[in-house]
Amino acid sequence: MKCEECLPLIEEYVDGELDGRIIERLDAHLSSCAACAAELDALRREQEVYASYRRDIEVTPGHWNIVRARIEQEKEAAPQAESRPRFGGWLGGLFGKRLRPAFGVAVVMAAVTITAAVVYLRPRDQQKGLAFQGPKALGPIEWRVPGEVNGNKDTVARNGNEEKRGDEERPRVTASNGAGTGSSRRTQTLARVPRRERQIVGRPTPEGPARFEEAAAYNAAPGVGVSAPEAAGEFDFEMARHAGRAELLLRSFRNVRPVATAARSLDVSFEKEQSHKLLYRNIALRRAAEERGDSSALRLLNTLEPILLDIANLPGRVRARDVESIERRMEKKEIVAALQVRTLLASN
Amino acid sequence: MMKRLAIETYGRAGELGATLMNSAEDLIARARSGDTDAFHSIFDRYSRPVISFIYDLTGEREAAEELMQETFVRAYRNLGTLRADARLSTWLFGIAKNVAREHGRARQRASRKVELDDSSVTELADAGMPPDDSLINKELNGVIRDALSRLDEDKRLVFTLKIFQQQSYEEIAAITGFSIAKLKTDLHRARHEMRRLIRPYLEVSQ
Repeated sequence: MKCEECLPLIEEYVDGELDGRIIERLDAHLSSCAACAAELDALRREQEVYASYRRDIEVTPGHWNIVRARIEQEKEAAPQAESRPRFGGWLGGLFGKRLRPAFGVAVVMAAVTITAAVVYLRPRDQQKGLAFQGPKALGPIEWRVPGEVNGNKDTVARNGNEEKRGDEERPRVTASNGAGTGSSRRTQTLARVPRRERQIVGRPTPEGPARFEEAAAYNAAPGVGVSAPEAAGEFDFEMARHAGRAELLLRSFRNVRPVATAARSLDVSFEKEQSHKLLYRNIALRRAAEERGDSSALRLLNTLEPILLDIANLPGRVRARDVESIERRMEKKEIVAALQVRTLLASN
Repeated sequence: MMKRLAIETYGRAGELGATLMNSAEDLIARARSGDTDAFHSIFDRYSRPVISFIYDLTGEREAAEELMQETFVRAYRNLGTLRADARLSTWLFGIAKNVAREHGRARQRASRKVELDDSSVTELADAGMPPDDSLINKELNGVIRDALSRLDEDKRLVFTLKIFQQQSYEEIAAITGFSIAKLKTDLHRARHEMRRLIRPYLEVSQ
């Protein structure tokens, strides 16, 4: 064997990837060639250095506890999912496997036909000025507007002030939810409220509906592009204000629902815009927190920043699973609660 | 004589039985049937190499801990898809590689955006000590970790699996999906690059 043949094989030789016959020939050459033997020695020294590499990371019992908890959680969730009645389970059983796709197509076509018939046969006066009312038999469209939140369906709050609106100003649909009348009759209103207001005010949240005053203050408040505050009191105040805004935005994002009943994608353009603005502010505050050595604020801002980035980088119309993925991260990091705590501490 | 032979045979059978009870195949079979203790044994056996592997790929300790847990949760969820002829370690490294890659992509998206918005990132990088000084001052582990982080993704993956996890070329090909030719080239280049990056330390240690 010559050096040109030996040298390319030395790595494979050290890696133990050569077969016996080639190893024998290589050994014979290495015993007689000092240059190739030196090359082999250098490679082995490197291997020794890598073998002494120690990482500052350990597996602890806590890691297994988390894995076990997640596994148990999935085990518990699995039977529930299986026992949940599925469409294919009872109705699908009526049809053979071959007929199921055909049945699906038939259902879709029937739905399209019924919708077209309802739209076409609807009285002319109801078609005027409305985007989509929906068949009354299916109930009202579930838009909640500020007036309803405040307990008065005829009054819509806008830009922090309440104003009376007439039917001629903004077209509005009032529909009953079925046969109920009198005190039991529940009336809902669909108004052409700008999306910005609908997104924040209209969404019911687990903690109750977000107040319009907050939303108006949020929308009107300045602060984007302001340089990082230096005084301690000012920093805390700015942090609290930023946390309050971020909390409101994340709550709004968490409650994003399809714009219309038929829409598959979600409109998060408002949240994206606000995230962009908050992101700049977040970076400025993070730098200030670093300079001040405020670890608590720094941790909060560091957790918030990637979430704001992800929201800001979403496309205009996104799929539900994209939103859910960010929501899951928000939940995991408990960011909304952390922001709330920061705001509350500052207000006390 | 017969009695002694019987005892020896029995003893060997007992040992063999115990070994089989704890073999990877047995643990997988038991874990598939819902035995959490069996999966705990798998975790005990493979969590250390898996966390090291992910740490080498990501360079972030906290992320490596979380991603190692995610790897085992996914492994448990997908035990049914593990082929009978596949090695458990190869399969686990494959999942860990995917998990780490997903994390890396998310991280890359975030940092790319920050870099555009935040000039302090570049300022900090430029203001650091010269590479030579930092190599001399840092310990070996830090030097290797730094050098690893400078390799591109494919080379780091192949280098880590071969040098630190002692996987064969065939196993690396199964984990990464690379051809043997590509992984050999990547490994050769990674070695060369690593040698260049840790050379000052090698010279000091000799």
